[in-house]
Amino acid sequence: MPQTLSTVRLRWKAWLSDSPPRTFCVGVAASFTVDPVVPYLGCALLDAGFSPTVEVAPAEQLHHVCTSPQTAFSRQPDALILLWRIEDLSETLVARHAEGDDAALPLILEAVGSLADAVSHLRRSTAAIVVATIPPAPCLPWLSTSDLIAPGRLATLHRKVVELWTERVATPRGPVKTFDLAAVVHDFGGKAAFDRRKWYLYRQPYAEGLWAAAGRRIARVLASGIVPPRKCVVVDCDNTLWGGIVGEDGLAGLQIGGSFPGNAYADFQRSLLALNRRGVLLAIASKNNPDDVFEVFERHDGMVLSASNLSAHVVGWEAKSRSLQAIARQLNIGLDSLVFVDDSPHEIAEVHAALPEVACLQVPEEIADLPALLLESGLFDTAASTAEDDRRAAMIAEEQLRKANCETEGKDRYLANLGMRVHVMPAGQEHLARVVQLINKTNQFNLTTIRRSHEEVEALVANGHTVYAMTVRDRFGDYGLVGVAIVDNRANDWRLDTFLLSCRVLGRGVETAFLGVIAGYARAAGAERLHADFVPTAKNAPAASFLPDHGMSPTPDGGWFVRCDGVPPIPEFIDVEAAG
Amino acid sequence: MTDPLIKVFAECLNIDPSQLSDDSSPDNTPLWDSLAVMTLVAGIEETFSISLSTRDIMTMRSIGIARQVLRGKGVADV
Repeated sequence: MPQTLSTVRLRWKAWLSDSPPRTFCVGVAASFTVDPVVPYLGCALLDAGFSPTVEVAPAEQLHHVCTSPQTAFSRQPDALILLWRIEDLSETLVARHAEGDDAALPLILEAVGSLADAVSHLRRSTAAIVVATIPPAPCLPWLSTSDLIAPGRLATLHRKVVELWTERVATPRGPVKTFDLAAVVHDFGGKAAFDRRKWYLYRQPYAEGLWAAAGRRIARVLASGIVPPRKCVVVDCDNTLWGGIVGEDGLAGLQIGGSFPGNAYADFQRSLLALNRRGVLLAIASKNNPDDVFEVFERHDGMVLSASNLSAHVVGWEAKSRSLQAIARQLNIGLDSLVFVDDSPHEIAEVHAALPEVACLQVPEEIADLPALLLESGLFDTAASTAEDDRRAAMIAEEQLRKANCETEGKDRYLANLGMRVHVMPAGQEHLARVVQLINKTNQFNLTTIRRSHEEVEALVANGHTVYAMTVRDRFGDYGLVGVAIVDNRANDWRLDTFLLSCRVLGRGVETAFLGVIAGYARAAGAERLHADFVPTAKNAPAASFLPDHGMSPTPDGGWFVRCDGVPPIPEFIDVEAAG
Repeated sequence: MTDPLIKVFAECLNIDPSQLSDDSSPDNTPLWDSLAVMTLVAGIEETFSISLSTRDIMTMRSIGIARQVLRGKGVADV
């Protein structure tokens, strides 16, 4: 049975009366009455794995909440959601603009700018995640939007306000996250979204169903900064990538492109290709004869994907769970980075039972819903898509080339021939999005695995720590920014608070080079010793022997240290450039 | 089996059904505040597949009156 709105509300009530420990406190403030969103946002956060509370600030105190958030909520929120509508800034000005008064628009934009200032102030004064809405087009029930009286004026106003707001506050990679209320209202249907009765009764503008959609969307925005996005989607072929079974129906009998349902399968492939362009890896796991499958890729006119889009493929008769393990190994990523799509409930159940870390999506009964399946899953939502993300797929292809080279040459000659170039520098503003991303997703080569938000990293720097970033390239390509170290260099001895490397560059001596450069900085600053810690996790075994392997000795309190001149030299085959 | 209207009120107000009757109103039911009214309207509209007017919402000052409003809208078995 589908979840009705009232079952969601009851579930939230049950959760509240259960009084379990709450680890994620969300504060909501709005320019209107917003209380109905609470159960939907709360349950969506529950589904995303949070243990949430949701608290609503007194209505219509958006500015006040921005300037003194601590007084608006009973406890310090971990996330603050700010919802506002243009018409709530000034109904009169919106009306004047709609009716043709050109003097109104600058005044409205001034009010939007002042709200943007308040949000910027809030962002600087709180460690909480801040989420601000893109406001919907204004809707005043009494105001004519007739084609004859005010053609397009409200649309123009909306466009100008959204332009200003996104430029000032809701930039794609900025520290304030965006919740697109305008899109929710649009998807729901403007007329159905607005509930006049509730507006005039409670100053609560929206229909119950709109709040359900808004709550889910806000939860996705919040989860995107905290739950790491999946890195690879593995799809079955028959009745998933295309309609029909290639082994039975033959090439000519498959449905790909053309009319229904082939067009839906082709659009599903387009959705995969769009993810691939954002850096998500694609792979197939199919129970078939390999020749049959690749013949489809090569010869079927309707195919959108080509074999070159695939980073890995396992076509054979093994259990799907085995195939997925092989793909994860081959791509050097964790099973918890995989999403598996298959039409067979049996295959889904087998994978789910054997590999619970893998997210499984079953092809919907309604094939028209297949093209939106991956998008609506939210599994690939990402906090800030970085330049490295965009290039990840290309880098994996370069990696295949490197490995092919490695097999023909000896290991040392191979490393020497790579022509590796490492650049270490204090991280600047332009590196911060990638630095925070690495801090929050690097599992394997990570000495301390301390996760930190954008704001927390900035706070450390303000507190006298230094964040170092390392980029790596070789003759096959550019890896981008792949190493981060946070150094507490306030005392005479330096301490490595964070030291991590993306697993893409492990085992080539760059970790030794990175430590060597930092030890060099420490020496230059007059430090005598370098301290470090290793905090074991379920996944960071690859980093376990790094400290003893680099001349470090244990201290009585469980930490490690080395004299700055005792750090092993930077490998000769690496060309190092160090700045700052 | 609990009366369906009492059940909706109990769920929305977070009160045991045994504590509610047709005489229950905001005056004698502590949790029946303006916030609860928003939830009640949504609960009643969804449960009985009807739409309440602002006049209906303003009128429903007790469960008994709510029952009359629903009967007036042709809802059977309330």
